[in-house]
Amino acid sequence: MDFYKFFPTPSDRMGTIWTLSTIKDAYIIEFGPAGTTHFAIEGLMQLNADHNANVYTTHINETDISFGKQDRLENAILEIDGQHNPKYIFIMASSISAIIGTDIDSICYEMQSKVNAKLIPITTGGYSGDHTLGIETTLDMLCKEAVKESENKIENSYNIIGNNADIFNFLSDVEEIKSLMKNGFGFDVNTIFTAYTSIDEIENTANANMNLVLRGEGIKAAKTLQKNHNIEYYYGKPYGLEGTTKWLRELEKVLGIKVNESYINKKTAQIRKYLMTFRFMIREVENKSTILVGDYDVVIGLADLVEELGLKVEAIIVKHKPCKAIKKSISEKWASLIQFDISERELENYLKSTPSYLLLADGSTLELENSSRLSMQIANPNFKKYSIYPHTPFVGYNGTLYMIQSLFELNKANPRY
Amino acid sequence: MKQFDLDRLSRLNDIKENDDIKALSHAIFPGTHCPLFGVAMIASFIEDLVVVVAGTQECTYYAKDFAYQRQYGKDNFYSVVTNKHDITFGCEDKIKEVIFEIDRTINPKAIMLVSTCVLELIGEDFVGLKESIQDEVNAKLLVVPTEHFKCNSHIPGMERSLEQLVTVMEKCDIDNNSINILGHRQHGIENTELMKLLIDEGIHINSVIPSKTTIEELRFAPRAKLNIVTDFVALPMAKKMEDIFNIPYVYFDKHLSIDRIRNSYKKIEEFLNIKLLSKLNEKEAELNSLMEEARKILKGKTFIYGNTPMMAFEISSFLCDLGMEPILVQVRDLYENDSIYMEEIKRHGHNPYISRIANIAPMQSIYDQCKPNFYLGHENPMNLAKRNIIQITLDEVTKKLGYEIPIDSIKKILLSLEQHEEMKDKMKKMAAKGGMKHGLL
Repeated sequence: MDFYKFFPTPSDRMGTIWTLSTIKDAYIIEFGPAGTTHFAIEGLMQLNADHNANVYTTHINETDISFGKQDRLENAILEIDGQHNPKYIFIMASSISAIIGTDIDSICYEMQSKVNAKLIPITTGGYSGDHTLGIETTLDMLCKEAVKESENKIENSYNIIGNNADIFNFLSDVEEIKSLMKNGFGFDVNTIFTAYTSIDEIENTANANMNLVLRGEGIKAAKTLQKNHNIEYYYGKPYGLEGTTKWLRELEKVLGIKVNESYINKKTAQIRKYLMTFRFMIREVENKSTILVGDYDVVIGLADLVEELGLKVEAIIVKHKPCKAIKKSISEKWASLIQFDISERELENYLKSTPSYLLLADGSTLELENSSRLSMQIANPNFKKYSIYPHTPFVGYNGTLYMIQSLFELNKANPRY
Repeated sequence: MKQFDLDRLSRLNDIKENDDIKALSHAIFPGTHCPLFGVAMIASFIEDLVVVVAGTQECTYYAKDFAYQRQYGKDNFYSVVTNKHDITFGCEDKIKEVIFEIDRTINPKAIMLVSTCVLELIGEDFVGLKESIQDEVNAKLLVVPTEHFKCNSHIPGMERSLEQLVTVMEKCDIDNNSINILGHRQHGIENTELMKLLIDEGIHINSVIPSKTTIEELRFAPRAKLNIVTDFVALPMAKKMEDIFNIPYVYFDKHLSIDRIRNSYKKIEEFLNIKLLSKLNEKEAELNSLMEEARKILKGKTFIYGNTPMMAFEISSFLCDLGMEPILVQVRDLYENDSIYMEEIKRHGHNPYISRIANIAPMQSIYDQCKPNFYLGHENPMNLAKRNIIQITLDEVTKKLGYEIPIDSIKKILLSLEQHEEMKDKMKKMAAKGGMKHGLL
């Protein structure tokens, strides 16, 4: 049953808005009740993300619904085009306009000749799937509709696809990815889809040499860029010492450039001693099991790190449905431990009945009754965490250090065997 | 295209009904909150009330987030998410199942079932559902519809949820020395001018609804001799309690005019057979003297009204009493007593533009067109300081009742005027260093 004490899985529409909201100079008009838009704008605060786009509502009333009137939307499109002269206006249906059958595609088609901006219809009304579908579709849409042919390829540059506001640690993780690419290959980032970026940066995406895809939902967009702009991509997110080194080695092959070995050696030496110390600290912990709950790419990646720390992965619970690309990529190692989109009640029953050493989970799962000794937030939804300092990553070498440090602290605060 | 044009708005003299109030633009940012938000504002105060929000992921997700934050995780908000199948075939069985389960497992005294836009659009009959299962559950069931396509703000959600609370009340013996406070959403009512006086007279509070009550206490709310309505959103509740339990009410909102405050006190005196006004002579004198002083300073100064804890037309009328001139008043809707305040503004000879609230997108251009001396409400201070507009926020008076409201309001206005140059300099220096992100000092 779709009954929740905390949060339901967000909808495709929410995923779309979260993806677009962090793009500077993006103009979005929602055809629906004002409260829907107002809630969405404030909702971004829960994600600790800056609202950089320009989001507007038309509001809608009974007469509009009864008579299928759409002049509010048409007038809003003309107004935004005339007042702000944007390059693109994203026209979004709301749940209400989707249900009454407002044809957003046709409205954009009809209005296109009357405005300078390119009108991009977004028809996800909230009933087609969860937020990951909205994120996947929106990333792909941006690559199809806004990326221009490159006139000025930038040497040693790359794009990041899939660093979005819905990812709990997006602010710090992207900094670590940039650091890995700079220290490992001397590469600089070109465009980040989509936290944070601008319409101009998205248009110039094709100037980069390659795409780093950090989440399964970004693969579709990467394939579009590969097909339309001949840009190769690599999908994966680096977690743990071994995982990060492996990630750099694989990028070596994709880029055809040797990685900076001294950087790897230096970081390996730095991390290895703390890995040993951590393993020593938990040597007498009888139940070393760890449960991971959150977004697919984050929990899969952290599962590797957990093993590296000498802990045992008990279960991996993904709080959304898998996208097509993810389904194909689940490794045999985790296939028997992974579950997708289970109900809140099933999750709570499982957590209550499964004693573990560590629970790495989202903010609402951490509120459920559980039998874990230690717990740490690694995903959204978020109730309590405030995030403005961009150097506490979970990914990469520094992410490994940060995780070890955090777990040391947690263990010290709960000294029990 | 021409920048936002004030002439698309109606002026005060042309406002006869809600539809006469226009928005400054077709594309609105951020827009008003919806009635679901209004329900969350009221219901989250009542800790033994379980609230079940039925609707889309968006509605349920954001309502939960708000309720959790507001009650620091002690909220009782639950969600039933509707899917495509429910939209086509209805979700009555699903909702019933949830209600039965909550009744069985949590055993609450009351469950407030909140339906949202999509379910109201498809005509899901929540009242019928409630009636069909009320006898099968222990919890009292309350139903609040929150469709936003029939209104312009969150206010109906607040009104309806308060009104629904009456259904858990029971007939009681009257305690002649007790009152209820209806609509108050702040803590510390005991510290207000009104309550201090009442306590001195031996009057005690039976219930403060919604900010300090429980479902168990609400049962005995009709014990009060009098209901004092401190926010207009509780007027439907007060009227319903009058109809059902014969409890009279006095509307004692955050009034500003001496006459209105005096009349409200007088009514309370009569209903409770106590003396209050004789103890307020000093306060009245202080207010009169402050108003005189303010008139000398504020006469002819213009203002745009954005938002305050007070009613838009009521405070605008009060500012006119101080000699100020309204250029533009932003309002949500027309409310019960607004015609009185609107007439008062007209009698001062003013005919300001009237627009819908919660649309800050066009305001930057409007400031340049209108060049007001003052802006009342929340706005990025930088936007106002660079245009030499004095910003007044009156959040402090939310916790007051009585003469202390106009007294504190005038003091705040005069203080803001006095500190304006200093504030402007601060803003300029801050702007030179890159400005502020969220408009907070």
